[in-house]
Amino acid sequence: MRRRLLNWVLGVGSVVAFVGALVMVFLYAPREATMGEIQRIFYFHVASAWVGFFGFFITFVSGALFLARSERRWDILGLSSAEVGLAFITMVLITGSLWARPVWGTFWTWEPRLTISAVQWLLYVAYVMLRTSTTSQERVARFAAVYGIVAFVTVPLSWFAIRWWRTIHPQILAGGEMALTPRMLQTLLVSLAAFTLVYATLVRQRVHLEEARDRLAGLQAG
Amino acid sequence: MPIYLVLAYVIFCGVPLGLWVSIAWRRRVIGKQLEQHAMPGEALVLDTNVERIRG
Repeated sequence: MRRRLLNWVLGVGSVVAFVGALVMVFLYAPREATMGEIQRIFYFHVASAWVGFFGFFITFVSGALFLARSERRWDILGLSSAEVGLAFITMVLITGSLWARPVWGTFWTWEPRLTISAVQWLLYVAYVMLRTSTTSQERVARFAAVYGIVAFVTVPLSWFAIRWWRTIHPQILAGGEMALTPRMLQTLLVSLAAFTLVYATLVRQRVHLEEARDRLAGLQAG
Repeated sequence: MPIYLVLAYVIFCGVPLGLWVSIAWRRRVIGKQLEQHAMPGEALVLDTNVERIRG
């Protein structure tokens, strides 16, 4: 009963927050002077990147906890979070390219941030493929936990890429100052909150799916 | 409104929705398999146990 109520609250909260963020992006945030309307991609693009990074962070933490305690629940959480995180990072790559075409004049360029993002995407695609392996579940879980910890290095690398190397990727925080007007910042914060809720809803559903699979496997085996 | 902006927001709305539908669908399929596997066997074991306790 409590589980159903929490699912319902999360689901409805996600939809309301998502629609609210959409309204703010198109009706509340001002039109950017240089780039014009296309700049509005920024709000959900950054929110997707945040959720992707957060998802990979949860996979990293779950991997460490699984190695320490060998509890199946940490393995399930790591897998669920990586899958959802990968979906959001895929959106980041595609929508970033859609923004770059009119602004940079090209869909893609091999500059540091974009290159690291592409490598990160490939690493997590490999993680998800690894999970479909038919070898023993315990071995796959242990390997995936180590893999999730190692692959997480791409997250700080991606974050610092625009600070350490010469790059054409825009920075929101430059020299400690926010390059956004108050309305832009409010829209970004609402988008971040909405996407975090959507992430929580999706990961929770994905965890329930994996638990159901375990129950079915148990019944089939016994 | 630029076509790339519209396309980007179609992706922003479509991917999470698609993922949610995909998970819900898989849960539904597994839920049905669970019902088929669990119900007859569990009922039988439960009845037998009750009879044994009474007897």
